[in-house]
Amino acid sequence: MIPHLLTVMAIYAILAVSLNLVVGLTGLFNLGHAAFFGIGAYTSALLAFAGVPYPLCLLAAVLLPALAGILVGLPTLRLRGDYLAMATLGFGEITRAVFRNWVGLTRGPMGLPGVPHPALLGLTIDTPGEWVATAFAGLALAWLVAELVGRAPLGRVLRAIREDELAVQALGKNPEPYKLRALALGAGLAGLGGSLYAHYVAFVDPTPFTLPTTIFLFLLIVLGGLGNHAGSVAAAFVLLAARESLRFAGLPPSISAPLQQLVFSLLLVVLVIYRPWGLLPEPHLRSGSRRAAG
Amino acid sequence: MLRVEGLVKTFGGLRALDGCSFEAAADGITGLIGPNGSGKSTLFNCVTGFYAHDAGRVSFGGAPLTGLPPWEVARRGIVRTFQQTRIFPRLTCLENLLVAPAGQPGEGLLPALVRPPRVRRSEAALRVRAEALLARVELATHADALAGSLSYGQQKLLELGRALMTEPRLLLLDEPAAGINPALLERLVELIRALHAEGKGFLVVEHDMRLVMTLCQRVVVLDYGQTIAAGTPEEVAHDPRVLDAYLGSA
Amino acid sequence: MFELFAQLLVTGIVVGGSYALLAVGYTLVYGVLGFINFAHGDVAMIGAYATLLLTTGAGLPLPAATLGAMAAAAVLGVGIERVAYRPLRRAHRLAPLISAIAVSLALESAALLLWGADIRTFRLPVTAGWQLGPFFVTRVQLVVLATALAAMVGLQLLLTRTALGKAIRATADNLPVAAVVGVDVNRVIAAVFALGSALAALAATLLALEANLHPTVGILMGLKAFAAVVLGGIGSVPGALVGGFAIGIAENLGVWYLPTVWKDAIAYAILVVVLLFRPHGLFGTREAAEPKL
Repeated sequence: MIPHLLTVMAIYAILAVSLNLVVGLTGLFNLGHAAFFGIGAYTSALLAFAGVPYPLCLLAAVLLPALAGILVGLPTLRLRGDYLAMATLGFGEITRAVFRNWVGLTRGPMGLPGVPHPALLGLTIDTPGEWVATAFAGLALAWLVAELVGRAPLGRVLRAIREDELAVQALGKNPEPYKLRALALGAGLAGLGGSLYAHYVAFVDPTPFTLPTTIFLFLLIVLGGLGNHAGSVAAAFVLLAARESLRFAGLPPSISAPLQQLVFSLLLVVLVIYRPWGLLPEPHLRSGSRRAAG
Repeated sequence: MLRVEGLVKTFGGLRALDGCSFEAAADGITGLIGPNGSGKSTLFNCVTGFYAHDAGRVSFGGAPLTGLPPWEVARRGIVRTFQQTRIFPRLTCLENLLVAPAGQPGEGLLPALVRPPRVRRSEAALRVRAEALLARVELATHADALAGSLSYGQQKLLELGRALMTEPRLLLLDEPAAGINPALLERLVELIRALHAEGKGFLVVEHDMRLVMTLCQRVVVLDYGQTIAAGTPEEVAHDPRVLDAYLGSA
Repeated sequence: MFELFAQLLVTGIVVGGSYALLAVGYTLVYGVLGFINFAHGDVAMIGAYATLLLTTGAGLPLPAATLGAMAAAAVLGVGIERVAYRPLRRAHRLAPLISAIAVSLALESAALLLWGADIRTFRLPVTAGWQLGPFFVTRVQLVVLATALAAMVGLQLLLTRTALGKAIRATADNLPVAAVVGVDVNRVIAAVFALGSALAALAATLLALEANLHPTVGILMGLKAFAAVVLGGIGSVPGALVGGFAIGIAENLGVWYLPTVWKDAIAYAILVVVLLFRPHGLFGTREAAEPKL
């Protein structure tokens, strides 16, 4: 029970960190993020069925969504926030339609059962304990990438783009290549989460790769603080624990599922009104030398 | 030399710039004045590439600026500030300055992840410059404060410091005096003079006439999207067309 | 063969009229607030459910039920603006978007809780129609189209002949100036939300008469309406109308070539193509789609 919960928490934390890179750090309103999650999941599962060794499945699950991110981003990232939101929403919905309707590849709503266990470094990951370790390893990797980018000059430029893209232009930098990097990175990390998800649940169908999932991820990153990766991870753990405890309330799934969604979406509204930047502040630079006199 | 020739910009039915022409020396302090609606902001936006002008040419040092996007204009040494300051509120003052210079190795994806020595060296060098500039605009004590927490006047100084980090040749200041108290304004004027002595040029849009008259070597006057006068402050102040534009404008 | 084409064209025009009404609500709100209300499609969905409830539950005749639903949707729309958007007018630009998308999901979840995930229909009696040359039009289709057109005329009259309409146009043109001149901006915004939501409820009801109703259609309708808005040029009411018809026709004629399952994707594809090549649409200005100075 507990290992299962921890594995799921870690996977959602990876997804939250990936969205935080795109939305929280760079300010790109990507409503189609779940599509990257899905592309990673399907890619990894399908390659595994074809007998490809897991490390390569994982690599493809990271690279393909990243590539998709670049393709989607190239024409759309220069658009304003709400336009970008709609364009990415459209991309997300088209991707979901593809998952559902390209039955020859994905078996549509019937899904792909029996995704093989991953084998890493000679070890097959099939016990709950091994899964917890793997998921947390993935989370550590995602977190490391987010931290390195956040603290690097790249992170600084991304945050500046988030704050005021036109001012960045006026200083001599074209925001587009930076935005593409952020989107590709976020998409790739989401693909990592997708691969772990597909092989853990051992079944891939279109249902998780939807807008409500993306909105739940938005709740996680707002709760944890936009731009704060540690906050995203913490929020994932807290909220999934809360969701688990709701399960014991004994309500039928037809009630508890939409009820959860209702509670989470209202929570997000309240949160964004009272704390538009989220609960926790993002980390920022402190000057090393403390020359107090002005 | 910044050269604007016959610039035209229309918005729907409105001709904001109607064949505007003037010159501004790259090492002088030129003032740009005119009644409200005369096209000063539009001119700034066209010169810096934020608007695409419909006709005419803009060139700097002989090289054309027409059709370049804002970041290319800035790379050629023309950097602007904004009327409503556009600092980065959730970055610290120091970060606001650090983010400005172009060509930083750490802004690439791989160097960000791997952190080779040249990134660390670049950061250290930038830090030194940024801290020095912060001190120059008298915001050194606010280095770690979020820029959004500064007062309006302090934000204006920060914006100027940030522009200076890019080592510009010509600074376009959009109403630098608006909304700041006289003491701060004094220091701003001193700073502009000092920077000018170091070889930097300024094109300043202003409404504060005393400031324009004391600070600027040359003044260009706009009205209805055209240049109606250009010369020294004294010449312009006594030009009947200028007086007419300000007093007689409907 | 041509009969199929003619049939699809008729369906496209009829459906397009409803999309046009949906699109107008988006464009009005954008024109006044500069913000795309993601919850618009879901308010429409709630409106359609309200009509269904009023007919089946309260036994009201369809026209009365529709009017009642429109009123309810107007109240809902104004309420959402007041609670979820107004506090964020000064906040950073991501905040209203996050709020809107959260409201959208909240509405969808509420609908799922209240009315369940089963597909509902209006179960209208099958009626005769008329054959006009190669075109066969059912009575329902005619009523739907006529209602949509009447609503458009009504809207046009409101915008051009009433004081409220003038205030709306002034605010859409230049909000700060309108405020200075004495227009009560908050009231105008509320009126715009009320108007847009009422039209949305009407549109969704008209669409639901011949299709299935389910809580998830909100997002779908919202996307299609947005495609119409972008095609026509955001902020332009005539653009929204033209765009709505265009999307309706394109979507239905597209089924001629493509398998039916891809029908919904046609609107998204149009959206993507327009955003790629001409983000300001047919009647918009170039600067509309890019960050504002």
